[in-house]
Amino acid sequence: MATYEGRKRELSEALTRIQPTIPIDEQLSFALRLDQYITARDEALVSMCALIADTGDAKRETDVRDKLARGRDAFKDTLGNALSSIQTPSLPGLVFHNMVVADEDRFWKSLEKLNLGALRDNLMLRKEILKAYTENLKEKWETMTMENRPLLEAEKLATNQVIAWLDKSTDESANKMQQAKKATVDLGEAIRGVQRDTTEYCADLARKFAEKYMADNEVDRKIAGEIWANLVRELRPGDWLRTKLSTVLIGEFKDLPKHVLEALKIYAVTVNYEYTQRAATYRDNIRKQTDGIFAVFSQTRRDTDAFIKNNGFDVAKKQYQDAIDTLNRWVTDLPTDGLKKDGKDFSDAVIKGLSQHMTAMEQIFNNFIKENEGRFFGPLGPNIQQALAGEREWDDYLSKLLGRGRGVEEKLREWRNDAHQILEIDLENMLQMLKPSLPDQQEEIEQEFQQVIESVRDEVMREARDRIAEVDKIAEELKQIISGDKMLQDFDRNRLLEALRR
Amino acid sequence: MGNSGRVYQEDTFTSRLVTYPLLDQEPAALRVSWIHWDSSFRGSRLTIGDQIIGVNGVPIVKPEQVEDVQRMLPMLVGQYAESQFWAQQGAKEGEPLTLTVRRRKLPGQGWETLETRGELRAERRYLNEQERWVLGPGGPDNYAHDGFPEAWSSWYEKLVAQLTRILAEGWAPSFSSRYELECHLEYQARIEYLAEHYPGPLAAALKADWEAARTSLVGRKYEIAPEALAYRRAEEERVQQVADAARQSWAAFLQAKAAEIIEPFPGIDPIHGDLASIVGKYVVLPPIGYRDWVSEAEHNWLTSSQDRTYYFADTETPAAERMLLATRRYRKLVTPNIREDYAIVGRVLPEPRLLIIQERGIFGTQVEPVAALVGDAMFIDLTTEQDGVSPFAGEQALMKPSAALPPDDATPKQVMEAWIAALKEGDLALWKELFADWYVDQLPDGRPFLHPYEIWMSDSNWEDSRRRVLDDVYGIEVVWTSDPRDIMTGREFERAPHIEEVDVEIDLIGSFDGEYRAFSKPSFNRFWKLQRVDTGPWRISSVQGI
Repeated sequence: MATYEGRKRELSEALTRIQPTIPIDEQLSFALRLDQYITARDEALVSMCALIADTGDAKRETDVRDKLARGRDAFKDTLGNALSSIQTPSLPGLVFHNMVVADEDRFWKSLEKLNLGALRDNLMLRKEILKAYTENLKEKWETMTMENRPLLEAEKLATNQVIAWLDKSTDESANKMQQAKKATVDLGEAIRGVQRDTTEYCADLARKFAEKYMADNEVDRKIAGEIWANLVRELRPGDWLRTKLSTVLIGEFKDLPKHVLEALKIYAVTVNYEYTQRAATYRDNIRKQTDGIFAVFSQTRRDTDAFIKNNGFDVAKKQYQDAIDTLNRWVTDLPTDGLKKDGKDFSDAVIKGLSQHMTAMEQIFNNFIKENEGRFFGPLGPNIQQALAGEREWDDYLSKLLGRGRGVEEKLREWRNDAHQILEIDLENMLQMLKPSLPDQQEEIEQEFQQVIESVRDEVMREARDRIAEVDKIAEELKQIISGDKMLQDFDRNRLLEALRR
Repeated sequence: MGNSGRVYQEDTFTSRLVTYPLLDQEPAALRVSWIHWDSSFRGSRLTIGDQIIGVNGVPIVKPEQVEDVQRMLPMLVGQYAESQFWAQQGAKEGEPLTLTVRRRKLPGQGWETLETRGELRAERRYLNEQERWVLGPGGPDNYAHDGFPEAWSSWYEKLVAQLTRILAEGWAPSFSSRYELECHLEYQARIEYLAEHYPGPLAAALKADWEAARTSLVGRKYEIAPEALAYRRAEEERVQQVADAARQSWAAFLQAKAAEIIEPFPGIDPIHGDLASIVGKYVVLPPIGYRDWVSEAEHNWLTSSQDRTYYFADTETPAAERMLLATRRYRKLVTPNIREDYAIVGRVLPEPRLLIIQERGIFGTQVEPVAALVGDAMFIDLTTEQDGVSPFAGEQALMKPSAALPPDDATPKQVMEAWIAALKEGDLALWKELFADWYVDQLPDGRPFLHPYEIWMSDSNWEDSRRRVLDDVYGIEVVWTSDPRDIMTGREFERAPHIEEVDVEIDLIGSFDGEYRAFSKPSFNRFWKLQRVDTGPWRISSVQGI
């Protein structure tokens, strides 16, 4: 056990000096009680130091006070009563006794005022608060990341689904457009067939007429012309052509614009439902992150800043330094050299004990820093941004999305152009092909045919124009909803990162 | 001697008293701690607790020099070396001894002085027929048990220590009279046994002392008229008045906000739900008790939950702080007894909050308190505020004019009585004004030092005192006032004030078995000091509650 020699030596020497002047019973009483007192005092002081150095989480203020009280009471019971059994104390004995009583009383009273137990408990509490807050933050981080993870996954899923749906729709629409183009070619073939049939019909008719009416040179050409005209009127070649066209071609003429339209409608359906839905889901999850998780995350960062300011290691260091200063002042104010020596040794032991709390606290604080710097205080670490916003993999997702978006833009332009090509130019050309090559004397037939062709052309082109208008409308709408830039906007993550860094 | 045996007599003579020195007081004295059964002062006017201020006409005086004190003290009457003094005087057994004694005039003021006569006696010890030491003539064997757990001598020693404490020291601070009475009654059986089986002067003295102690511990009896207890009903009426105002105001507040109030449970998930749709709306939360407080790094939150829905209110917002302050004012102005559970109306805030509750992270919706019904007894509208205060419903009516101060020439007893009346009536303003707004310190050299305009009164003194007078304290009476003494004479330096001080002792009266009697508990403050400056009004300088 550590002992405090300063005061013991001092009192022993003082006793030795007065020994010749005091009776033997006083000498013996002083000597015995001095020993008893020093033993009890040292025990009390050592116990106090042990309690102060206790780094457990129990409060020790009362225990330290009890030990101090024991030391103080030990004085009363020993040296304080040194002359109680002496019937007539000597004057030097009384003087010695009074001096010792006064000095020891000052020692114990001033030690009591230091309230070392409370000092120790304050440091301990700071440590416990820091420990508890570290655990607290750990739990909060786990809760936040657990809540955040499914949102990140949902965002990725929405993005992947958009990409998948776009790919699928592009393929389907491309197929449809191919079908339309093939139908155009087939239609062209069919029209050429009709033209050939029409030409043959007219030639056959002319031949038959010529055989019947033009073989006899005696028939007047004028009358032949009237008969031809009547014949044409009777035969109604226009009806024949109309029937031919309606049987063979009208349906195909009208179906062609529908094929073209369907190619774009597939896309329209995808965009209006699948893309819009998934983009909305994505934005909703972003909102849950920014307005929910990240708002709480920022709050926790602010709370942690405030916590460090009020409870951080610097605050404890200041308390510790104040304790050292107080102890140093206490030692200086002690009344004798012996008490000062013992006071210094005691003070060193107390400071050593308190420093154990500081060491423990420093470890806990360093651990706190290690776990939370870059997370709940200090500049935001990249791993935190990654954990909460999943930054790294999003470059890949967003570039795929941008690629799809640009692709969609291109496809829309291409299909729109194809639609115009098919429904305006190709169709017009095909309708032109319907006109048969007829000799001059078949003007009447040509007129009838022209009427029918004009009528069919009007009907078909009207339909085609309507379809073109629809195609243009859909294409315009799609352009507003889906494009590379629009996708980047809908799937933007900057808002997320801004909220995280708030 | 009762039965045959021998007497062993010391050859030194004393008063057969035990005293405790009070040399630092004025006048210096020796307090009588014990009167041995065989002292000549048994049956005299001397009682335990008296202060001896003179012996044979010579006053007790404390010498100037410490060494003289050390030499003189042990030989004073009742001290361990008293016999030496009488030996030096050549005194013999039977020599007359006159003690000048002072004792407090209880109940009343000041001290009375009287003389009492006795004589010096030798200490005697007794042996019985079996040559065994016994406790007094005809008394039991020191080491016998007679069926009791302890030997007679150790039992006697303990009993004397107990009686000394009770009779000599009286109801000192930290004294629990009813507890001590219980312990004291445990001695009764053996005392009666002693009186029955070993009758004699020892048994008689012991029985008388035991009875005196019992009388002291039972407490002075008081008669309290029913009207003196009317203040308890006044408190009940105040409570009722404020509670009625609370319920009316609560209903009116809810009515006014009805269109914006939404059901709190089941609530919206603050992360996954559409929190924005309820921001700015109000929820009425069920009462929140202390168990529902959550603390994080000494920052407190009120929480309310049902199933998986949580609401959190920060207690450190201005509104919440006004709510808590209003509760403290209620305790001061109405009654300290209020069940502190808070039914709050909270306005939903836009940001959720994450707290750790029972080691789990919980997301909750934050609300700001806009009104609270506390303990179903008090309502506060936190939307009204003036100078940082939101009054509770009915608070204004409580601000009745304070009763008048007692006149400037009121005696210390009258001042204390006014203070007691203010406490019973709940008149906080008057109660506070009766405390001194100065205090007197002591410099290292012992000189007094006045600090004017210093008053620091803790709310808890008022609240604790109010709680007591509404609970187990039915009355308070001033039983003793000392004569005034100077603590500053006015001559210490130029313009030094003249400060006088008195000591006051009060009885706190409880109800026991249908009677009102004085009693004491460790937390009670029965001893008070009052001071006055330059013959101004007396004021209470002990900063404490009852």
